[in-house]
Amino acid sequence: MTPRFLDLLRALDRHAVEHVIVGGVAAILEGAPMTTLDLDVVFRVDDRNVSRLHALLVELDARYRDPAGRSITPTADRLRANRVNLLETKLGPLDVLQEVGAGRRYEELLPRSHARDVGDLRVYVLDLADVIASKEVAGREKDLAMLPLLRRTLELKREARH
Amino acid sequence: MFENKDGESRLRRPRAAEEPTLEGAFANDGVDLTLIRWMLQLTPAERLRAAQDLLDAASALRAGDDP
Repeated sequence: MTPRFLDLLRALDRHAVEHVIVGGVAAILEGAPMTTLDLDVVFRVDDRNVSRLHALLVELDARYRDPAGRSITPTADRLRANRVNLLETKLGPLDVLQEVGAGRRYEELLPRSHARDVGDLRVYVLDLADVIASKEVAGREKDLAMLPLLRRTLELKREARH
Repeated sequence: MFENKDGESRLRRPRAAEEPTLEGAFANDGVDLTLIRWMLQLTPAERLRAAQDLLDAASALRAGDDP
């Protein structure tokens, strides 16, 4: 299913899930001319926030994108246990992560993010330099392929500030 | 690819001001800087909308619809 980015962000907001937007959507919001097929967020891993996130995922009828084709639902225990949760929801693919890059969690990422207004929503978006760093650490070909575009975007953003 | 019909490079400054130029359009690694500059002029909401529209259009094309 094609992701509904804004609807996913609204749903996260409606459930007051504490999160930082990372990955491709963060790069787009920061100005990179690209697209992506999922929304990646790093969430705060504490009981209250996991409970909120779980309630959201129930509402979105979320299932793990399981290569074996099984229908596995995210539970609070699974969200606490798994660093990476690749989910399909009725609003499209949503990846809820405990960390990105070299083990950087929500508490570390939040000060490195920017508050951005998307319509009437206030969201927190990881700084583009850190998005680049996370992709460098990931080191996958699909991430490395994006680096020239992301680095040039960062350069032009910095030039525009001066 | 970057030459006009007379074989002149469009990466150099054009002879006449009204001629289009590709000077400054690409980074050394081939990244299209014009698209980045365009995106940076948009608000975050507009950037997300652009990405969403692209996905929706691709999805419609795959389905054989008129996007």
